[in-house]
Formats: sequence, C-alpha cells, structure tokens
Amino acid sequence: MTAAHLLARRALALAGVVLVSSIVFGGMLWFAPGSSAIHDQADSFPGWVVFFWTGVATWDLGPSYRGIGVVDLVAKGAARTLPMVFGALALSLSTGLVLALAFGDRLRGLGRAARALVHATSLVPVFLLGYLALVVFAVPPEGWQQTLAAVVILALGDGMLTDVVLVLDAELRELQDRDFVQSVRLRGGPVALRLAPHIALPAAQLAAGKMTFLVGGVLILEKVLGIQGIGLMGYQAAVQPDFPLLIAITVFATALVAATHLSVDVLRVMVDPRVRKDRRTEVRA
Amino acid sequence: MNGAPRRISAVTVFGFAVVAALVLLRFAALFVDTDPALVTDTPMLGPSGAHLLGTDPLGRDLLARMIASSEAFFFPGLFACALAVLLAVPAGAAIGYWPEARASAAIRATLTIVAAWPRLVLVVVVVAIFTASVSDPAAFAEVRLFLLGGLVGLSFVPQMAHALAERVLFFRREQFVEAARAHGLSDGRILGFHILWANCRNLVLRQVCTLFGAWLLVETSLSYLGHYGVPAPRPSWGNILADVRFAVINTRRLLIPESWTPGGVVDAIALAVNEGGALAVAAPTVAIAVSITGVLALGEHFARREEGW
Amino acid sequence: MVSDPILRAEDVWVRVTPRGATEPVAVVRGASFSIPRGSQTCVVGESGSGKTILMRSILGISSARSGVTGGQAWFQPGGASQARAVLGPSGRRRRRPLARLRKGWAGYVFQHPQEALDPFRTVGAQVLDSVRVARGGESREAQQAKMLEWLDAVRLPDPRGVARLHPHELSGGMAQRAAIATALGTEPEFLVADEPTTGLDWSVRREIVELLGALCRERGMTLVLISHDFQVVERMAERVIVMYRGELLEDGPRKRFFPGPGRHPYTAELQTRVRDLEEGRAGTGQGAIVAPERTEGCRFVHRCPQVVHACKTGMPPDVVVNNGHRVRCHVVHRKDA
Ligand SMILES: Nc1ncnc2c1ncn2[C@@H]1O[C@H](COP(=O)(O)OP(=O)(O)OP(=O)(O)O)[C@@H](O)[C@H]1O
Ligand code: SF4
Ligand SMILES: [Mg+2]
Repeated sequence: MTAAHLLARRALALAGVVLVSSIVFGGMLWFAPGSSAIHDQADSFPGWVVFFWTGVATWDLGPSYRGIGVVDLVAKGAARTLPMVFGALALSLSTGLVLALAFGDRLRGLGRAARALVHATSLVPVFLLGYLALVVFAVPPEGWQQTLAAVVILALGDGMLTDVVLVLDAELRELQDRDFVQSVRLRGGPVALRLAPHIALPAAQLAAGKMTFLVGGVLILEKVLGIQGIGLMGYQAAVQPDFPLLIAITVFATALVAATHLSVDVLRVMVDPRVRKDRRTEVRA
Repeated sequence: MNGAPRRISAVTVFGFAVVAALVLLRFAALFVDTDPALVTDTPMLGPSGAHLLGTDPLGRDLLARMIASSEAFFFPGLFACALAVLLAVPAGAAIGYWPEARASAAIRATLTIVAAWPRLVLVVVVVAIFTASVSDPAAFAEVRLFLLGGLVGLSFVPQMAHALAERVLFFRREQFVEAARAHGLSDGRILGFHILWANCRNLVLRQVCTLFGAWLLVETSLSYLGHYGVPAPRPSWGNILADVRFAVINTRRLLIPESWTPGGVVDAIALAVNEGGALAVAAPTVAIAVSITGVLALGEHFARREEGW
Repeated sequence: MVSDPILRAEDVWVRVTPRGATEPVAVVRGASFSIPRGSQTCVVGESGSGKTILMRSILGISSARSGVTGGQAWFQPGGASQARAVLGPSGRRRRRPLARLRKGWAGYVFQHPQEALDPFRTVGAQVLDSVRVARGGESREAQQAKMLEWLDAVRLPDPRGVARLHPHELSGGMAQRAAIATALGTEPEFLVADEPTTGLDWSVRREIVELLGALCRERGMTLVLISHDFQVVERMAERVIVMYRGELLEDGPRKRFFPGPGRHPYTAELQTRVRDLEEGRAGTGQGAIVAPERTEGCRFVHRCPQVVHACKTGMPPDVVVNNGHRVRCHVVHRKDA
C-alpha cells in the first residue's frame, strides 16, 4: 500500500466518523420532543441529513433560533475559539518539552520539586482556574489579556500540562537511550536536531488525543470568562434550546477532532519512511 | 509481581487516604441536614462555633453544604465507573483476543466514532434534550445526575477498551496462552481468568480511577455553570463556588494588607476569612483539587502495580 | 603494564538503576585495564557480565539509567603527557562525553545493527554525517565521494543504491555493514565493536570480523572487540580481557590464552566449554547457574573447581603474573608465591 493510499483510506474513515456522528446527534435532536426549529428544516429525518450536508456544502444552514445564519455564527465563534485551542496546544507542548528536558537526570532535586508543582497546578480543573483568574487576577471581560489568560488556563488545567510532561518525558528518556541517538552523541553531532522528528510524532499524537478534552475545556472556560466563542455559543444553544445551531456546533467539534487525527497521519507519512515506502528493495548482502 | 516486600509510597498513601475520606464524607452526608428551610443565619458569616466554616451568601451553614455535596458525585460516579467497566471490558477483551474477527472490526469502528465525541459536547447535547423533554426538570434531578454519570462513563469506554485490548493482545501472543490451549483450556477460561483477572485487573482499576477523576471534573464544572449539574438548592462543590462568586470580589480587596509586616498580613487574612468569604472560596477549591488529585494518585498506584514496581 | 596505552581505566564502577527500582545495582565493579595503541583487544565473558556497559560508560554513551560511580579513565592520543580524563574523578556522578573532548575520535559499532541507525534517515545521510565530522572543510562533492567510498569499503554492493535506502530496507548483514560505515566515517583512532556478529549467519560472521580487523590494521586504528565467540577471539586478539559478573578477572596478551588454558579458573572453564562444543560433546561445565549475589569473596566461587578457603571470605587480589598479564584469583597468587 502506498502512502497516498493509506492517507486516502484514513481520510475516508474519518469522514465516515463525522458523518455517523452527525446522524447520531442529529437523530437525537430530531426525535427529541420540543425540537420544532429543526423540524422546519426538512420533512423527514433522512431528508434532514441531506439538508444538513448540502447546507454544509453550500455554506448555508439556514437561520438559528435567534434569526442569525447558523454558518455565520459558527464561523464567528470558531474565529474566536480556534486560536485559543491551538494556542493552548502549542503552549502546553512547548512548555512540556522544555520541562521534560529540564526534568532529565541533571536537575534531580530541583526537577522533582518543579515536577510536583507542575502536577499540583495542572490537576486543577479549567473552570476553577478560570474562576481564580476572575476573582484573584481580575481578568478583564475582553481584550488580549482575556485571550492570553484563556490560552494559559487551557494549556495548564484539567491535567493538560501534566499529561504532556509525563508523555514527552517518557518518550524523551526512551529516545535518548536509543543506540542511534547515542551514536550521534558520540560523534558530537546535533542530537536535538536528530531527536526532533522522533519526538514530533508522539507529540502530535498526544495533541490529537488531547483535542477532545480541549474542546470540552474551552466550552467551560468560555462560559466562565464570558468569551463569545463557539463553546459558549454551543452551551447557550443547548440551554435555549436552539437545535439548528447546536447540531452545527456538535458536528464542527467532531470534525475538528477528526481533522487533528488526520494531520497526525499526514505527519507520520512525512517523517517515517517505514510507512512511506513499504516496498523492500532486493539488494542482497 | 514478585514476593519481595514493597515500600509503600507516598502516592499510595495519599490515594487511599483521599478515597477513604470521600467515602466517609458520603457517610457523613447521611447525617447532615441541608433543608433549604433552615436558612437561619446571617449571610457570609466568618467561622464560629455554630458554623465551623461560616455561612454562604444565603446564610446556610457552609460545612453542612460541603459535606452534603458528596451526594452529588458519589453514586452517580460509581454508576459511571460500573457502566464503563461493563461496556469496555467485554469490548476491549474481544478486540484484543480475536483481533481478526468481523465483530471486532465493528466494535473498533464504534469505538472510533464514540472517541471522536468530545465528552462535554456529548453531555451538553444529551442533557439539553433530556431537559427539553421532561415537563418538570426539578423532579428528575436525581435521574439527571445518573444520566450525566452514564454519559461520562460512556465517553470513557473507548479509552478503557483500547488500553485493555492492547494488553490482551500482548498476552494473547505469549507462550502461556498456547500452552493453556494445548492443555485443553477453553478460550473463555483463558481470557476470563488467566488474562483478564490475573493480568489486567490493575489496568482496569487504574482506568476506573482516571474515570472517577474525570467525572468529578465534569460534575463540579457543570454544577458551577449551573444549568446541567446539581440543581439548586442542592449543594455541590461547584455551585458553592458559584454562589460566592460575587461576594469574594471583596476578598481580593481585603486580602491586600494595610502594611506588609507579618502582623499586617495576618490581620488581612483574618479579615478576609471573617468578612470576605475567603473560606467559602478556599474550602470547595481545595476539596475539588484534593479529591481529583487523590483519585488520580490511586490510579497511579494501580499503574505501578501493573508495571510490577 | 602496557607501555603506550591509548586508553587507561582505573577502578571503574558502574551502577544501574533498573526500571522501577530505587536502589542502584553495581554492574561493573572496579575494572582497571589498559588498551595499547594500535592493538586489537578482545573482551570476553558470558552474557550480562558487563562488557557492553563498561565500554559504553567509558565513552559516555551509556543509558541514562546507569551512572559511573567511581574510578577514572584517560584517553591518551599522543602519549601519557596528553592524557585527557573522560571519567572521574572518583565518586562523583559526572559524565564527560568523549565527543566534547574531540569530535569523532572514538567509534562504536553497536550490538544491534538495526538499532544503531536512525530509522527516519537514509543510510547515505547518516554516513555523510560521520564524514562531515572528519572532513568538515571539504567540498560537498568530496564528502559525498568519501561517503560512497566508505560504503564500498564495508563491502556493500551497489553503494549508490544502498545510500538511498532506509534502515528498514536493509537485511541484518547490510545493516551491520552500514553501521560499521557510520562508525568508521569519522575516521576514529579508537573503535569498539560490540559483538558485531550477533544475529548474522555463520558465513557472514567471519567476513565482517575480518573486514573490521583489516580496516583497523590499514589505518592504525585501535580496536576493542567484544565477543562471545572464542573462534573469533582466537583469530583476532592481540590482548584478551575476561569479565565475569561485572569484574575483570583476567587481562593479558594473546599468548597467555592460546593455545590455552588461561590462568584464571573461569577463563579455563570458558575455554573447555568452547572446546567441548567444537568437538560435539555436551558442555561439562555447570553452565550458567545463577547464584545469589555475594558481597564478599570471589564472584566465581560457586562454580570454581579450585576453591580454597580464602575464596569465600576475601576478595581475591589482582595478581600480576607476568609483564602485562594480570589475574584476579587466590589460587594463582599461591602458585606464584
Ligand atoms: N539499561 C539497563 N537497565 C537495567 N539493567 C541494565 C541496563 N543495562 C545493563 N544492565 C545490566 O547490566 C549488566 C551488564 O549488562 P551488559 O549489557 O553490559 O552485559 P554484556 O556483557 O554486554 O552482555 P551480552 O553479552 O549479553 O551483551 C546486566 O546484568 C544487565 O542486566
Ligand atoms: S579466587 Fe578462588 S574461587 Fe575465585 S577463581 Fe580463584 S580459586 Fe576460584
Ligand atoms: Mg553486550
């Protein structure tokens, strides 16, 4: 199987996941009582599924409960939310990498204390960190300070940083003991440069695995801090209830998760020749 | 794994202590009275003999509410764990033991789909539907908590099943499975006893601890937000925090000492505790952080057992 | 003692903290030895005796779980006056990687060839990395040509084709040759080959070893060959070092071991077992009996046919039997006394 084949199959599978999720969630909303708004969109449930996906394709999912176009709302919310989510991923991965390196055998006593501190802060829930940010640090209700606070909280809370440090630390330890790394070290080569692709893959996998949790965290945090992102919109859509908007946001979240998984596969194909070229060349020793 | 005596680590002690405390708290909750009619005292009192932690913004005893909060997460949490184990263990065992079977492919596909649903999104959507469909939401408060627990448990199934499947697959390839088959043992007995019970117990327990930690997180978060968690006036550590949200803006002002001498700092803290509602913020914060950390520490204990420390 | 050693180690202790354990265990105990410049030395000893970890610790490329906890070692590129400490001073947890002293000065051929190569990069790129260390100043084309020359020197067929392959596309023998090429590419003065023949079939084994020997002789390189294989040792060794359970039991020139037997009872047992195998007899030795760790006395006492009372209580002394030949044994001490 060639790499393109492999990626195509994965993309198809992930598209299937998103499609099935839209049917499951859409079905729940369709058959629930009190879902009149969504019943206005089609005559039957299969009809609604078709309506939804043509809507996605034509960039028009009709109006939400409040009358504003669903697509516009989602796009506006995503523009606010996605930078926070990816910023938090980048921040926690880079901090985690630095900490994992620092925790190596050089900084024994200090490393242990720092590790305990990181874990203690990181295991605090996101909503609690948001609350403390509001109460103790008086984070303003808008502006870049608010975004920055959100990024830091998401990168830290719900055990995010702890998990990142633990995973990267374990990976790094194992990698640094590998013979090929030791051989680079012996000849005085650029060890970090050679390690980079090997650590990038588990880091990306970790990031993709963390995506579902970040989406949950951002939902809570936007409500706590009052950020007009997609999470808060989804929460309000559920409370109102505004089912056309809710289903769009749900599918968007699932697609976001699926897309992250797909980008890990792309990265894997890019760095790992064992996936990329799987045809053994017949040269005999 | 070996017979050598193990040193009991701090992680183990902490984990078991916290879990024991949670059980005790649930037991104590049987004896405290949090009837909303018992609003007897002045709001936001400092700690005193009558109210050891003081009172909340509605004049209710904070300690009683802190204890009664355990009702909100205890049994729904256990329900979440039971549901996850009941679904994930058979699923994980099947795809690990018979990786080629067609049923395994179907299970794997299902798990992939469920894994793509962010936990909170699932919870919010389903609870929204539930709330919209019942005529009197307050009457279904208890059901809603168990529904929440069930959803969190469900969302945890892929993670638990995959971890288990990897383990089972590893043992499936070991010599002893072949040997056991040669001795005429049935697949069911090999899988159920020799693989799952003898070798995967700690892994499942570890996952259960992680799940309970995740559940605590979801319950307190949603209760803090107010719509989907524990319905007021029933207490939860989350909504206790939410209740004092506005009162504590004072605390921040009060906490800044008039003079930065030790005496000034002590005075400022005393003021914050007595008049600023500092305890109403600190108590649930600490309770949430410590119980999540403790449950995860117990999980770490099982993880170490599993790795054979 | 050896007159002009390129490497000198004194009382080196290495401890390893196994995964999950809290207490480190000593896996090399007070190893002292010298490697003469330009010589071919073989290190023998059964599996787990600490051959690998001793040499790797001295080169500063051992696992992070292990640490040198005592002893000193010097590399002496141009005689004793230029000695450079790579380990020590004694007792301090410090590793000074050889690479910091001078790049590409020592090479290491790892025990598992597939592990020694970066799975993400082509063979050519990895050998080229080594070539750059030695010939940083030369043009790209010259480096490229040198890289192909190395692939050819280790007798890889079609060097240009192989240079474009990734490690997973190589057979075991090819991977071993490629790994040797990366080690030699830096044009080291000192090369350690750690069981370069494990995992290879018999026809290839001899070829690889002889190739290494020839390359070292050509370039005046010092070779330390770690091996289980007494036939290989007999072909190659100018000096032999015998290790057992982390201790260096015997160290001497070739003529003390071949035709044999060695002076130390353990060496003698190893050689008898090898001869038995060659002659098709089942081993007469007690084999690898795992006895409980002993902290005092000789480490070989539970298998030794020549035990005397002192063996059980006292650590045997290092006896210099002869010029450049040392044996750690109570009995040998007696014979000479
Ligand atoms: N990373 C490690 N973790 C734990 N123990 C280790 C580690 N590396 C080496 N050891 C221990 O150190 C001892 C010596 O190992 P070493 O690899 O040096 O033996 P060896 O003589 O090279 O054996 P072989 O001939 O099998 O290669 C062994 O008992 C081994 O268990
Ligand atoms: S010291 Fe004693 S036990 Fe050890 S090898 Fe010599 S004779 Fe044998
Ligand atoms: Mg070895």
